[in-house]
Amino acid sequence: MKRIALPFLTLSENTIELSEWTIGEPGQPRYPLEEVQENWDYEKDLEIGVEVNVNFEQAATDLALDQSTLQMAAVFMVGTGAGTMPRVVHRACTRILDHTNKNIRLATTLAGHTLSSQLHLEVRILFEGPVESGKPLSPALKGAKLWQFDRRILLEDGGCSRFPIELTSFTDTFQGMPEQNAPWYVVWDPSNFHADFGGNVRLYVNSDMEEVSQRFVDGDRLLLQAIVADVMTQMISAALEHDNEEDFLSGFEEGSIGQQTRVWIETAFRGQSREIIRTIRRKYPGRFHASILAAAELGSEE
Amino acid sequence: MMAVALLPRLKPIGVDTALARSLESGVTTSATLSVLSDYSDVLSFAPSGGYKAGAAAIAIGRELKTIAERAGFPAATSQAAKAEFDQEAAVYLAQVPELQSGEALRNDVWAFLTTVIAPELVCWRFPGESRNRFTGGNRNTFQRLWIRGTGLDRGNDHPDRWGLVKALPEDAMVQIFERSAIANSRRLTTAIAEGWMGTSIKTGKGTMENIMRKAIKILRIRNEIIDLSYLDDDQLEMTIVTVFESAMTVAAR
Repeated sequence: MKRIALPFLTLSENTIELSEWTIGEPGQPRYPLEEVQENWDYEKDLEIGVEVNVNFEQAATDLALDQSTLQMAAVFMVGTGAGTMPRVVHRACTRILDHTNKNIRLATTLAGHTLSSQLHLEVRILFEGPVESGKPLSPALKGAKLWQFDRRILLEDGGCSRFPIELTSFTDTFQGMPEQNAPWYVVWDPSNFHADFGGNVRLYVNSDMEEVSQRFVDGDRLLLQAIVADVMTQMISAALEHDNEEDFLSGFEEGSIGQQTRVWIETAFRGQSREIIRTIRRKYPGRFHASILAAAELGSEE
Repeated sequence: MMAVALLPRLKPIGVDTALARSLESGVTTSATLSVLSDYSDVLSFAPSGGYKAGAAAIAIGRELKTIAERAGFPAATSQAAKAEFDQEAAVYLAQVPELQSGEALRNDVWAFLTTVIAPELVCWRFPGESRNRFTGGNRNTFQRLWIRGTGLDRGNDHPDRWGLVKALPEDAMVQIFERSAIANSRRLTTAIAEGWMGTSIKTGKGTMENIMRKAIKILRIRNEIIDLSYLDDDQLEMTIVTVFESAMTVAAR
């Protein structure tokens, strides 16, 4: 579930069990769904399915509703497009759940030409009814979100879909430009904190610097910490420039640059107001940078 | 099975290279296929899954230039001329067959169209603005118009199919299409735009900017709690009308 606190009772984690995620081309054998769908292109339609098993007695207890009348909807949402958030989403399959129909399969066929870069698959369990009949904290409105689970499947551009990173020759790419001799270069647009993080931030690592590129490929923790800290510093600093907006970062959506920056600020400067962080940056720049470097230690970063 | 037109792709790093090249040689809209060989070092195509359609990219650029010229390009610099271009180009792009596949969801496809095919239209539409009008994303000069056109399409059988595209002002468009949790559902984008239309008739367009901002805030929170896309058409319409009424009340305080 997302971190938002819902104003009604929801399902506990173990009330719903998903199993048997399968994928395959129409008329071909089904395979267990993996994180990468190898050899996909626009000409390959995909059939995807998942079993949903509900502990209905537990569900009724969770929601403080009568098991015999409780109805929920299992909804299969399919999104596609690179980035943290899908570019387009549609409801691919819906099944109504009740105490006589608690084990169902959600399945859909996706036209290959409509897909792009990755699939965002989400199973949502929504409240269907009975409306306005339970305890005060029971869900009362149709469509109330009770439980959700999502997973992503890469179709192409593996590296573009999460934190896009690319090894490239800076001599070829940035010849004569100031960044030519930099070990890495982060490309992003500080004027658009609403932009999707995965689709709009890209890190280039200089393959001309053999030691840097080898350590990067080897996953050297100190190098990666320095790179992540650089990205964090750039975004936190840009966000702090919005001087008059204490709540500047509060309204950004999950997956946006703004939301990621807010998480990083909370990690690096836990409990500090925006004004205090600005003061630290202005008067104690060493501490400002060290706080971010410490927060960028792999494992600390969300 | 639909044969997908594979359009040329330009990575962000290629945008910088191409922009630097454009500055050297002068920014011009490309009208011939030679542009593909000129830029062969920085562009790419999907390796399989359709047919290479470099000519389609050229044709799209040519038509966009025609639309821009009808709106007054290059001499006209008024907001009215640019708004006319935005509306007409959005309607055009939403109907281009080659853009009705997953290719149109790719930032690098739009980066190529803006940076290589029609950079002078970008410079006219957004003079002096940063590279995010060239790189792909929801602020890319043409991609944002395709997103609006497809997201506000009332459907082929509607008597005023493109009425929403032509009615909503820039601020309302930004409120809808720069909020990805809303923008990725065509049902929500059209329903909210219809809500904007209904409210603007009641209150007048002059007060709509403030009302729309408040309505979007309420809708985003509501959508976190209730799956608005699960509601049937009548329920969704009623929910949005109620949200706009609440926004009007808050805005009037």
